[in-house]
Amino acid sequence: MNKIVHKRFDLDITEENKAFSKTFELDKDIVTVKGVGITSNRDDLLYARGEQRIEINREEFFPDNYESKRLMAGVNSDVNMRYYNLGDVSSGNKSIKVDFKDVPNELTFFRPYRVSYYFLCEKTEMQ
Amino acid sequence: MKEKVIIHTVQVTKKGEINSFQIKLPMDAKKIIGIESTVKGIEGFVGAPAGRNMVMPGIILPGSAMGMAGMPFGKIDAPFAAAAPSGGLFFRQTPIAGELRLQSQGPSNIFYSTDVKLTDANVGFGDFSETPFWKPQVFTHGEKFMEDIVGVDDNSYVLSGTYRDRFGEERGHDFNYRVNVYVWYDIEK
Repeated sequence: MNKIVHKRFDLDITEENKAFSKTFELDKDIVTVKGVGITSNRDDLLYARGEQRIEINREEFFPDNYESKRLMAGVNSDVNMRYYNLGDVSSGNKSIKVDFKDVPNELTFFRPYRVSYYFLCEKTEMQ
Repeated sequence: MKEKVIIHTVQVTKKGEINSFQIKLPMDAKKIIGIESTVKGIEGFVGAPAGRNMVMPGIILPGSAMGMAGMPFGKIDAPFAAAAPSGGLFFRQTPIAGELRLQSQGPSNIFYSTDVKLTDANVGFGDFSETPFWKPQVFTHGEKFMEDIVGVDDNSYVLSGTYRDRFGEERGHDFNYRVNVYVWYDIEK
């Protein structure tokens, strides 16, 4: 029987107006990726400045300039509904690539912040 | 079927500007299933006065925590009511950035028309966690973003769109901002 697990990967945004790229490795026993959600230690900065491209198993799911705020959910969202539903995406080569871009915004002053990507995954029971 | 999204960015620089654009869809797009739009660059103006009707008069509900000087608070306990000294029940008009219309080349013709909103100005409405130093924000209390559902299967691979600025027009000033239009579509797996 398959199990649902939540994987978290962090990306540190250390400079203003710059792109940050990172590839995350999923566990070998993860078979599908079902959802994605984003949080930060500075939600205000992420909401106003963040944009990213996400590809899973070399397939693009969110194109360049996809705003981070569209993948965020506040406390008014049901805790079971906070992930963005991806369906059942095969984990394939187990890699998730994120190209994050910090875009200056007059609303906010830049401070280094952390972006946390949460992936809702399904894994097989290892024998 | 599988969902994909394409983003088109409209740059606005002049007040009242009417911007016409085209969005080219990939050839494997079978059906347009959803549209979203966001604004970047002027979100900070939320709540700022914009002419005559930016802030609506407060709605004082009988028996509400809003209360008035000398009036007893209603059914909500005083500690909660005290947390909203400036009145958690002021309803603010959500500012509009402009008007967006999309047109398919097929029989659906103009299939989408909306007011592009900056953000939800009433995200903290009725939330008594508000204090003079902090109030609920869209990034703390916002709901999950969802697209407006449409169903256009015209086999039209080019969408025509127009965006008209209302934000600068209402304020009589040129604002520089961009509007992102997200077009969700189905492809064959």
